[in-house]
Amino acid sequence: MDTTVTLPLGQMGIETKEFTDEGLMGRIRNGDREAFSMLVMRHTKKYYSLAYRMLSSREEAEDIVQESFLILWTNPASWDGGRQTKFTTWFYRVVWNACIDRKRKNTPLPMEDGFDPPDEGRGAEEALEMKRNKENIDACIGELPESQQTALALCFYEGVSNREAAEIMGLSVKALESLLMRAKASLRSKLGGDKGREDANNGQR
Amino acid sequence: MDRDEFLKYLELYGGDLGRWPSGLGEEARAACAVSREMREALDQERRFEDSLMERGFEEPSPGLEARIISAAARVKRPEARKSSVLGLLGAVFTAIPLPRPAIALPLLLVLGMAAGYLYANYAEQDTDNAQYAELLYYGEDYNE
Repeated sequence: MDTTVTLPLGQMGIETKEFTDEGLMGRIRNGDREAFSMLVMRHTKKYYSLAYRMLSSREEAEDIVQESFLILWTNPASWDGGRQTKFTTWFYRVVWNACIDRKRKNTPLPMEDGFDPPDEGRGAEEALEMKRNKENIDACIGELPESQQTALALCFYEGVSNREAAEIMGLSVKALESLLMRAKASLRSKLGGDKGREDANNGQR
Repeated sequence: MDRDEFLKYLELYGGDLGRWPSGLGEEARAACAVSREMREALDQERRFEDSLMERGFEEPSPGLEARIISAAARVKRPEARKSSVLGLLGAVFTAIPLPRPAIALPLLLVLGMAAGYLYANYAEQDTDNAQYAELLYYGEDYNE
């Protein structure tokens, strides 16, 4: 009996009982391209998001996700479903490791020269303020140790549970929680300090 | 839940009480309902998290999934496992969500018993053959 089901691309994100991640991985081991496509459609955005948080670059993040999925396609046996590691946990680890390797290879980019935007009124000033805020937060997070950045990316930005994040990073839950607390304390101190200076500057205008 | 516990959990789980582990969120809500200090701490945490969410994020470029699928189509991968007894056993191992020892140990036991049975039969035949050969060589008087 032919059990092949062709789904429109838009529906490939739906996880039915017959198409769990683990079930699809079993089919991918047998070279099933449709199963691979379903997995890609279902999970690309999630893993792109983690890679982007780690690397702060769209191009790098897309490269990492593509490389990771190709590793999965060419070597599906590298996920040992028998050990009861969830596919998503395992693949987070693959992507995270790839991000760490990429960060270590990358040389720091030269700082962009500052520029003065054309004076187009309050809208431009507010946009510039927002841009500065974003860059400031990026810079503060970038200064954190890798492990703290990862803990923050997984638990805060990606909404992964502390338990799963600990498993992804190969840590105890306590160790993971310690990383999270230190990351937040550092950021509170840096951003809180910057905000204090900003308020003081605004008062002087 | 006392103040210190609340602040610790706030640090660990963040300002969205719905994401706290089961039971703790409800305790936190009850604690905040009666403590102004805890409510202020919760508001402060939420403002801090809102500021973190201002961090820049770029959506992936359109068609990323399709590019990944196309790239995989161009990659030559090792031959898919052909149908075979070993392949079937491998599929059983990976499909059944049991720890491997739970499958391997009984399987080894069964294989061991089968091997033992076959060996015993073979050895018995050998003994019979040896006795028959002696009988032929020495004749029926051999054991007298």
